[in-house]
This record gives sequence, structure tokens and C-alpha cells, in this order.
Amino acid sequence: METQSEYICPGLETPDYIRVDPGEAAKIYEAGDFIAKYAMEVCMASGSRFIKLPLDYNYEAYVFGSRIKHRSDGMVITQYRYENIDELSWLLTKTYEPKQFGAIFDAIKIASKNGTVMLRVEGVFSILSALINPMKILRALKKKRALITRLMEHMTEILYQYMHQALQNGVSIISYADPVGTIELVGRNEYKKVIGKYTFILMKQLEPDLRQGLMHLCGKCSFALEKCGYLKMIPVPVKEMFYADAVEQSIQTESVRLIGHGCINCEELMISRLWTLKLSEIEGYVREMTAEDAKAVLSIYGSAIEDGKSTVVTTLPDWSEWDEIYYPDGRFVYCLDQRTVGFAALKYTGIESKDTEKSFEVSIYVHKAYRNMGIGTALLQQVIGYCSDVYGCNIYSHIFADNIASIRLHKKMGFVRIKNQTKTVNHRHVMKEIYTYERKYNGCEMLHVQTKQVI
Amino acid sequence: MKENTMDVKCCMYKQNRLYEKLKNAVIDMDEEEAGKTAEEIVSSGADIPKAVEYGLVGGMDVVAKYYDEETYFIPEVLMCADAMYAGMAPLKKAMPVSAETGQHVIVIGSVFGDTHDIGKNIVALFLEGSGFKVINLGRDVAPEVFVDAAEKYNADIIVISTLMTTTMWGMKDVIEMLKVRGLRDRVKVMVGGKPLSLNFAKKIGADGYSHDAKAAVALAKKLIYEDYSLQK
Repeated sequence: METQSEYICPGLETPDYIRVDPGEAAKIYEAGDFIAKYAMEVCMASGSRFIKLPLDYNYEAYVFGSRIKHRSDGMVITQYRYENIDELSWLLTKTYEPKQFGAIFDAIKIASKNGTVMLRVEGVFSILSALINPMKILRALKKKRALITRLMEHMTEILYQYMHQALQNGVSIISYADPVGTIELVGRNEYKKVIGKYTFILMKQLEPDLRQGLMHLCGKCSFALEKCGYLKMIPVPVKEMFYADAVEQSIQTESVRLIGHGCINCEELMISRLWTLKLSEIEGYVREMTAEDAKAVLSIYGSAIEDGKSTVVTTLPDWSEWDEIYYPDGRFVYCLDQRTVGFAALKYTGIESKDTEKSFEVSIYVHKAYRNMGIGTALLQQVIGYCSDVYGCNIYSHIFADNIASIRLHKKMGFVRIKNQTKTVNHRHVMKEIYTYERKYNGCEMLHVQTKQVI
Repeated sequence: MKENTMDVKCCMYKQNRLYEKLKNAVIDMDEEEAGKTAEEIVSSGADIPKAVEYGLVGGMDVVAKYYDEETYFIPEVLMCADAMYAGMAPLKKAMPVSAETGQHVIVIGSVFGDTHDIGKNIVALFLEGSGFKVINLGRDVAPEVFVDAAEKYNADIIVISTLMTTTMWGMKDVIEMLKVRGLRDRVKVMVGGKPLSLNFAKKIGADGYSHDAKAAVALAKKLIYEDYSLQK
């Protein structure tokens, strides 16, 4: 049958029962040194190749507010945090705060000095089903689709930030699974539109960060994503070896960053090939902004103002104010699944240029749940092409010094920093530097980004 | 005489149409329609137990078939269940007392230590949809809670589920406790869940094992109406 997974899960592994005195139970989630020490002991005792963090599968649920009790048989969620599906809206107000995951980051730093650290991450659907009766979420997939979609988007973004930071702290392998969010439970259609879509987005965002580490996807997940066209599996032959050895070796192989179609818990399984994953291209497109995009544009802009990294503006203007600030032409949006998820717009700049009469300052904003996926690149490429074709002019961008992602994007697209044009501003009571980047018009036409058909 | 026969036939035809309408409302996940049709059935004086049997149970039988064929998945089954409950509410109020007391009772829960319950809830849903009264104890249920509930509700069957090898032997504790409380002869025990098997069920003294929701419904009926048991 179409949706039957070809991957037969070898069975659930329960982590070793965490044996602590009741008084020490909170340390399982809150004390980095305790977590690292316990994980290293478990690694030695079990003969595993990897130091596995966190200690159990409830960690993300704990961070999101789940009530977990210590019992002689382990840490147990004895009561759901939420009774009513609408109460989950509260999660939409929660933003990523590194200190909430602080214990794990500390544990990673300690453990990574002693071995290969694997971070076990549960998918959004599984996290939600630890917070509320999963039957209610499954029902809400149909009845409260808009809320579930927003939750998936929002929590995916938080998970991305968590995994991104974990990689920076020394994690070598991210082991990702979503045991409640499976294609068998919800069917192909719902999986593709909701669970699979956001898993794909998460992987797409994380992929550029997998320079020193790799991501292992649970077999059920990778098979389902492949069925929905989100990725392709590519077998890589290996000498007859244990699965864990093959995965560990791959950490050093630059070309292997995503692995799946297997179970990372089956470390001693002999294999002769490893399945690597190639993610599909995202199927969005750039088009000119219209008045209908106003709401989406202001929403994205508002979100950027809130996070404080992308703009000096602190108050969201209304549409007519925004419309006046930005040049009427050269405005573009990026559409994904019939949604506007990013935009680019131009302003006349105060910078005088000897080379060209006109010059513009470009502003690029991408919805935080869709960053790191090439959308900013597509938008900036479009703007560069427009400025080159229509005006033959230089383009400028003012970027906060700590907005590394934006600086990287602009440098990639040929912008160079003008060193003597750095400003220091008081932004929300913090002194911050703003760099100015310039892309000179070089007389060549930049090709506009090719539009792609949206499925 | 002839006119009376015609009247009766006409009346039966109308009732059957209403049962069919109720059944379709359940299959089509139409809560509002199911509720309205059930009200119509009550106000028309139609046979309530028949409405439950042909309309609601009949509808859920089709839903179970669609679920088995993977036409419907859990979100759709839950929507159908909501429609079934919407239809059940007015019918239950109008149900003759004798019909209700004749219902067989099933107590269901995930074994102690196991917090998984999606599959178990689907089984509970289909059992209810097929006419059983179901007491759902939830997840991580201690043996004494199973047995207390069986005693309190005069249950015919205890259904225990698990997804974990580490907790499956806890099912035996439920059976042993039933023996200690002198209830084992009266209460049948069926078990289900991924790590289990027929052999395991036999070993722990259970009366039956089922591998999915559809099989669970069939087994429950067999245990009651045919006095079936693995232990015989």
C-alpha cells in the first residue's frame, strides 16, 4: 500500500532508566555537568560509540513546559501540560532563548572533549504530543489547521536555532526522529503538507550549518520524506562494517552531511552501504510585490523589528508609511506554497557615488522560519539584476555588525564593506555598530533568478 | 389492511433512509449532519437501538474498513468519531434503559510504565463504534487500576496495550491480580501492541491477542459471543 513505510523500525529503544535520587531529578534537565557525566557513564557502560545527549526523549518537551516526574522506572510525563488545543497558542509567544537549553549546551561542551557527541532531537509533532493528548493534535490537523501550521512553523524555527547552537558547541551528530509525526498515522497528504514539509524546511535550514557535523534522520522519517518528494536517497558503498562505525567515519567525509534510512540505535548492525540524503530544491519563486502582499510584508518586517538584529527601526509602520519610505519599483517577494515568506525593497541612499547618478540601499527580510534556505539569495539576486538592468547603479546595504547571516549573504553576492563608513548607534539601549556594504555596478547584467513552478 | 401494510412499509422505508443518512454523516465526518439526523430519528419515533446499530455502528464499520485500507488515517477516523459522538448524544438520551444495560463493557488502557496511547485510543474508538461501552483508563495504568475499574464497571473484557518491550510483562501482573481478586473467571483479558505476539499472550495467560484495531474488534466479539480464549 502506498503509505506503508518500507522501513521497518527495529523497535523503540528506551534510554537506560536514569537512576538518580529523587532529590537530584531536576539535574537530569538542568545541570550540564551532571548530564555530561551521566551520559559519559552510560556511553562507557553500554559500549556505545557515541555520548548521547540529552539523557532522555523528554528534554524538548521539558523546555516547552511539560510536567515530568521522576519515578523508579524513569522520568515520566504523568500529566499533559495542556487540556485544550487552543491553549497551545501560548507556545507561539515563546521565542528561542539559549539559556533555556543552557544545560545541554554546557553538557555538550564538556562531553565533546571526551568523545563523539550525538544530540537526540525530537520532532515538533512528537514534542506537541508530550504537551497535550496526541489525539487532540491529530484531530486538530483537520479542525484547526491554521493553528497547527503556525505551531509547526514557529517551533521548527526554535528547533533550528537549538540545533544550530548545538553544532557550534561541539555536537558531531544530530539524530533526528519524530516518532509521533509519521506518515502511517496521518497519511501521505497530511504528512506532505504539514509534518514532512516542516521537517524538510528544518533540514534545509540546517544543511549549511553541517560543516563539522552531520545529521542522521530516523529511517521512518527519511522514507516518508522520500515518498513525498522532499529528498532522494543515495547509497554510498562502505566496507562491511558496523553501522555506528560507518556513521562515525562519515563525520570526516565532507560530502556526507545527511544520512538516513537506518536506525542510529542499531550500532552493531553490519552494513555494506550507507544511505545519504540529497534534499530537493525548495519550490518557491520571486515575483514583483503587489498591494496584496502588504499584510505579509508588514508581518515579516514586524518580526524583524522584534528580533532587533535586522533593522534600526523599532516601531512597525503602517502600510502607507512603509510604502512612502521605500522606492515604488524594484520591490520583490518570495513565494513558497502560496505564501509570501520574504521580501526585498529599495530606498534612495544618501551615499554619493562618482560612478553612477543613482544608488540604492537594499533591504532584504525573510520570515525567520524560512531563513538559511536560499530565499535571501534569490531575492538579493533579483534586486541586483533589477538595479543593473534598469539603472546601472551601485547598491548599498547597512547591516548590524552582529548580523552574521546577512553579512555572509551580501559578501556572497559581491558586496564589499566600506571600512570608513561604520556607524555606532544606540539600539534599544545597546551600542551597536552598523557596517556599510557596497556592490558596485560593473557593467555586466546579472541574470534574474529563474522562476520555478510552485507545486 | 392493505393500507396499514402500505403505511408500515412507508414508515420502515423512511426509518431506513434516516439510518442510512446517519451512517453517511459518520463516514463523511459531518458532525452537524450526524447530530441533526439523530434528532430527526428521535423525533420521528424510529427505533433507537436500530439507529445506533445501522447508523452509528454501521458507519464506524465502514470507517474501520477505510482505515484498514489506508483511505482514512487517524485524523479522518477522529473526525468520524466526532460525528459518531454527535449522533450518539441525542440517541443515548432517548435510548430505552434495557438496551443500555445490555451493553458489554470493556476497560482499556496502556500498561504501567508505557505512555504511548495513540493506537490504544484508536482501538477504544472502534470498540465503542461497534457497540461496546468502553472505559478508557488512559496510559501508564497500574494493575490495580485496571482491576478496580473492571470490578466497578462490571467489565467483560480488559484490553491492555503497550509499545515497549520493557513494560509488556506488566500485563501479567494485571492477570495475576484478577486471579487474586477472584475475577479471572468473569473478566477476559486481551492484549495488543507492536512488541507482542500470540505466543506472548498465551505465556502470560491472556485470552487473546490482536495486532490492529480491526482485529481487536473482531476478537472482542469472539471473546464475548463465542466464549473464546487462548487458554482453552
